Amino acid sequence: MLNLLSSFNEAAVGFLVSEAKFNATATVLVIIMLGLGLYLFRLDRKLSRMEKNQEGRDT
Amino acid sequence: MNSWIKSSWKPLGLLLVMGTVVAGLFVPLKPGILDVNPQKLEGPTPELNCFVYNVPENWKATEVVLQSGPHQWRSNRLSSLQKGQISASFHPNNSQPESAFNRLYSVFVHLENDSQGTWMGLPDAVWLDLSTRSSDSVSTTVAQSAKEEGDRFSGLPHRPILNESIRNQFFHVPMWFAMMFLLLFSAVYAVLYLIKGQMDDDTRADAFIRAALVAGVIGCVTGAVWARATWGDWWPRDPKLNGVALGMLMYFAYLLLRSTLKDPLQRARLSSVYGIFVFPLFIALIWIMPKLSSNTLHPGSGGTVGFKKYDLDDTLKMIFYPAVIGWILVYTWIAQLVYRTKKLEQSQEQDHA
Repeated sequence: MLNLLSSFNEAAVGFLVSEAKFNATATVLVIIMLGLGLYLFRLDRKLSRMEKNQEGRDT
Repeated sequence: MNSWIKSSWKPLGLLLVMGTVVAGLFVPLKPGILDVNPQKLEGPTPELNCFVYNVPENWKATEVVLQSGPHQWRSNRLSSLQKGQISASFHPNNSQPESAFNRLYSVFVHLENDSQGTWMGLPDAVWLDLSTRSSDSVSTTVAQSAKEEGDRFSGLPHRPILNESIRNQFFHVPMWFAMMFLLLFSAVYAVLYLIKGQMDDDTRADAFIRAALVAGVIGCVTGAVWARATWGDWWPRDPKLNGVALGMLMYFAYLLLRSTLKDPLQRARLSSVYGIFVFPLFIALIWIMPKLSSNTLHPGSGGTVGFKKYDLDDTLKMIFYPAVIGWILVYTWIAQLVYRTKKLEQSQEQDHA
């Protein structure tokens, strides 16, 4: 158990002092940006559908 | 097909933003000197520790040079580069005039691999005390200038104090560009409303201000993070920051003004006039006033030089300009979505009435 804990600590410390921390943060940021882009696209399409429906009702 | 071409600026904006986010985060920083220790060299044979960053494994440090104007000191002894640290010892001689002592020196480290060499430097990093003057004479051959050898590394420039945080330039600065463009569009639509009297123009002006405020808030957050990393404070005393705070408050007051007026015509007229008057004030607060101030931290304001002068090198430009265009397009898209939502709400209200 102790061995497992110390090996985990080593891995955690290694992660924090290596480039892995930066890469992980950057990847998360990229995924958030992708998500926001996808959200904008879906919102745009939804609004287009609603505008079409509204036009249909108006005419 | 026609509508697809008309709306192609939206995916273009998104592509530019995504490309610059990936490039801005993953393009490596060029090697550089992070810090030196001690910052004051004393005694007859002072030793200087240089902490370097991102030096590739096949490169080795061959020389450390201190330079201040015409005065130059070369290291006599140098440790090998280990764990990003080099130790260099100096032996200043008394053939140098007294003016060579008691002054700030820039530190330069020469790097070499099998076929080529290059320099990296840290300006005004170390103080050379008069006590370093000794009776021994050591030749101080002028080192080959960094310009002659040129830059051998590709990547983002390594700037003192900024270090890795230079990447924030692709996020923080485009937010302000986007905000200013959106506020300009809003002022244009406010003028159009007052000329033509079409409610559509007022709705567009309002949507642009709302999207601009989102960009402004994100600009403040990214700026605070950057300020903490470089200037040591989340919100340092700086005319530009205070101007931004005041300008944003004026635009939040615009939203408040709109929300208090129930009559649509009165709301449109008043907020259009307010929007037209606030825009030049905002520009004066964040652009002109900091330039008139003699004491500001931001580059390009007061006595400081702009990014253009020494920070915007070609690699930065290749990412920075597309980022600015991309963010302006994305925020215009967001403003358009806000406008379309408001239009739908208005037509639904009319249906109910």
